[in-house]
Amino acid sequence: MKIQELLEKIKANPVESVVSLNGEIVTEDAVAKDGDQVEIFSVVSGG
Amino acid sequence: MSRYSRQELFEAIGKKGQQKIRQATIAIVGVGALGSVSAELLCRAGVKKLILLDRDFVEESNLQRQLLFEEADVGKAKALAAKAHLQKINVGVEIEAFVVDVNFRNVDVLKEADIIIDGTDNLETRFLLNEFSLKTKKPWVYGGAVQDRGFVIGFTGRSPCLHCVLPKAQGVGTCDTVGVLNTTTTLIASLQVNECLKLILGTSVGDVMHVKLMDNKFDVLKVKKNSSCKVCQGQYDYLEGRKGQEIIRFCRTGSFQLMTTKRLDLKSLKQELGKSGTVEDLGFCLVFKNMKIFPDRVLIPAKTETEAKLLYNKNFG
Repeated sequence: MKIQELLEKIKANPVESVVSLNGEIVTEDAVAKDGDQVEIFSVVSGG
Repeated sequence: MSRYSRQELFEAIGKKGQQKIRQATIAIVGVGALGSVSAELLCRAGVKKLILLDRDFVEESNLQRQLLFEEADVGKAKALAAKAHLQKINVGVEIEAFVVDVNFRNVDVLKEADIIIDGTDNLETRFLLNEFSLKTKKPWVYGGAVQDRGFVIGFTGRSPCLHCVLPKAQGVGTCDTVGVLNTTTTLIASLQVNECLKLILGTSVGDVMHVKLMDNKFDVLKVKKNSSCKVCQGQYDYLEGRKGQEIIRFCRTGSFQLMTTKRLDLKSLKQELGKSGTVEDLGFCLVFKNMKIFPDRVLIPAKTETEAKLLYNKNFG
C-alpha cells in the first residue's frame, strides 16, 4: 500500500505528518509491504 | 587546569577539538526556548563568536523555559538581553546581537557564521535557512519542540535537506497554542548543540532524532536525498522571495493582512486554537484573539509588520 493511501485511510493530514518506513524517512510515494514497520510522526514547528 | 579541561579530557574533543571549538563562529536564529539554551551551552563550551538574531521581546510566559532570561528581562529585546547574560558567563566569547526578523532580504548576515543553529518558531524561516544552507554549503542544525516531543537534524549544507524530510509540511501546533514542557526544549537544544559540536569536530551528522518524553520514546531515523526535492535541485523559492508570507497593511483598521503559504483548514484550526482561547466561528472566517482567520489569509491588528508576523507565527506556525 502506498503511504499516501495509508495516510488517507487513517485520516492523517499529509502536510502535518512525517512518515518512516523501516526506520527511514519516506515520501508519500513510498510503498509499504506486509511486515514493514511504518511510523507516523507529527511535524514540529515550535521552538 | 584550563577553563575547558572537562571537555578536553573527553577524548572525542581533546585539546585539538577544543582549538576547533575556539575558532568557530555560530549564528543562532531565534533566541527563545531553543536558542537561549543553545547560546548558553555554546558560550560555556568556548566558541569564538556567537551571532544572535531575534525579532521578539521577552514575555512573562517565556520564563518557564527560556533559561537565559529572568523577571527583570520582561519587555527587553531577547537578542540584547541574551547578549547581556552571556557576556557575564564567558567574557572570552565575542557576542553580536541583532533585533531583526531574519528574511530573504537580510539572510546574508549569516554568511559570517561557520554553522547556523535553528532557534526559530516557524517553518517558513526554517525553509529559508535550509535554502541558504544549500546555496552557501553552510551546515545548520534544525530543532523543533512542542508539548513533550521534538526533532533534531544536523544538515551538512549538502543533500539531503530539510525539504527532503518535510516536502509538504505545514505545522499547526505551536508552543503558544498547544504548549511545551521546559524539559522538551532544553533536551532538543542540547541535542542541537551536540550536533553543532560534531559539525565543528568533523564528525558525521545527518540522523533524524525524534523524542516523545512522556512515553520515554527516542527514535533515530535515517533520511536520504529525495530525488524529486526541488530545493536540492537548486530551486530556492524562500531565499529568492517567491514564497513566504505576503503582507499588506490596512491603515484604517490598524491591521495587517498576511497571505497564508498553504490553505488553512478552518475546521481543524478551530479545534486546535480552541485549546488556548475562545474561537468565534463566523462561517466564512474564525475570530481568535482579535485576529480574523480566512482559509487563505489572516487579518491581524498590530502596530508593525514585525509584530503582525510574530503573532501569525505564534498561532499558525
